[in-house]
Amino acid sequence: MDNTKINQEITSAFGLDTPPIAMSFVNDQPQGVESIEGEFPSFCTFWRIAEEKTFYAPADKHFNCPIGAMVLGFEMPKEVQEQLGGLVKKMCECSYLSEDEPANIPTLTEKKAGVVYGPLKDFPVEPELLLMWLKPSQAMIYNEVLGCCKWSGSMESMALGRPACAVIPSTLNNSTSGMSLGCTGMRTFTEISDEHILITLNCKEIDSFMANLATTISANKEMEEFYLDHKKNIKG
Amino acid sequence: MIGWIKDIYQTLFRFARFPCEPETVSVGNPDKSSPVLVTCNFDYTVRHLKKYLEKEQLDCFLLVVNTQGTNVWCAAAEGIFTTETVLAHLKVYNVKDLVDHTRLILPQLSVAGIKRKDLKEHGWEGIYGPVYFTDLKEFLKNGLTKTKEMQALEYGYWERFKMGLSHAVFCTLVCILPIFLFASDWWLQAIALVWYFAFSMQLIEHFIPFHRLLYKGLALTLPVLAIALFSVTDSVLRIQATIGIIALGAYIGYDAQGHSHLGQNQQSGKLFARIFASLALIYGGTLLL
Repeated sequence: MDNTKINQEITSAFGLDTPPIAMSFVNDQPQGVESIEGEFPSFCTFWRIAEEKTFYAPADKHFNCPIGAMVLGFEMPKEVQEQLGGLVKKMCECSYLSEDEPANIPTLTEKKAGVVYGPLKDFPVEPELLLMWLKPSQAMIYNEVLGCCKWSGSMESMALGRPACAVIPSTLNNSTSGMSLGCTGMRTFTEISDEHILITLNCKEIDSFMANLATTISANKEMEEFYLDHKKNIKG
Repeated sequence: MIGWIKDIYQTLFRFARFPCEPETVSVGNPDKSSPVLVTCNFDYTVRHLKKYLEKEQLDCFLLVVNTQGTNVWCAAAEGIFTTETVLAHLKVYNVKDLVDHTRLILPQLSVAGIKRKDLKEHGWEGIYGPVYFTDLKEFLKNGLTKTKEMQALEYGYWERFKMGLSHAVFCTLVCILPIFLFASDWWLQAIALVWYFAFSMQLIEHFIPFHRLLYKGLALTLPVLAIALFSVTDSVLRIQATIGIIALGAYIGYDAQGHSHLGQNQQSGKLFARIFASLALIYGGTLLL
């Protein structure tokens, strides 16, 4: 299935306001993809820009966001490393993070030179990760598609907290998907509305995701019709 | 010169926190096989340790871990210098990319807070180094092996004197208000008494045959009480002076727990509260005389 079709099916199945964006972590700037110009305050700022256009952001474009640079596993110059240390210290001192958390924040294990961002529909390289903004009702269906909300003996929540961008290495390193309720930083920089949460999908799983999507949508439609009927019949 | 002034200031106010920036410092010309030393971000320690490493020309990486400016021993005992804080530092400063080994040389006095087993689970091998960083050169030369001397904690008179200074300053700050409230005519003598107790609790406490520091403080009141009872003639004043001296001795003896490695786990709080309450009651009674 090509990117345009995947984009179309996901957007219409979930009724997305903003179609998914894609990311790819690369060692060289792909031909025909322009480098982004300017200064950006955070890694997550790129996600909103990617809704409009495709671009390449080398590692140094992420250095205004030491946490983002860390989760992406970029090699950082000394001053950025020091800023990161200071930021983590501040986060711990004001109890935003507890002392045992920083060591467990996931980071991309493979070191790359930069990231290609852009709308999925005409993404120029093989996408590695999809990023979407979903409302809780849409996220419920998303979870069902992935089989994450099945009742089973071991229930593990998949909703992550802060930093929201850590959901990206968490998804790529060892998961099918990720969900973050959205940290304060992400909400400040992306200016995404409060009713949206951040969703990621590892593109390695795109085929099975697409295969389950139609079944889940139709199952939910059928149940919705049943509940509406039930509500109509038992109106007090 | 500035370092020298800082040393005096930080010795006098040793009970306070003096943080420097957490960082990962390359000392000399370290390479991938160079040792990785870990310390806390207590400014006094970091300044002196850096100076030593540079002087001895030891090429290494020094991890200055955030313990909010508390020294290694206290931070480890208080749960600020822990496996988690070290792991956080390793992650944030990407230390695994600096070296091709996983050995971390930890201060021996961090043993209460940093667990080697937990470090191992995260892929790091913790090795407790010598008690004093001045033994680091020999420790590194010996292939990370400690001699008996390197493991011994000395509490010599110079160290005791410095602790006495800090303890005296701290107790003066705590006692100054009560002294001016209850013994304004005798404030100079009272402050001298505070310094006598604070210094004695560090310099000669090991000659006093009690285990509990609170009792050592009370024992130190005996010569002062003898002088007071001989020199004060007014009977009410005599009782009040006795109460004041015992209260100061008990407080400074009790407080020495926080200023000495001997005081760990003594838990004299309840006993001290009972003594203090009894003295307050007696003092209240003297006001009726």
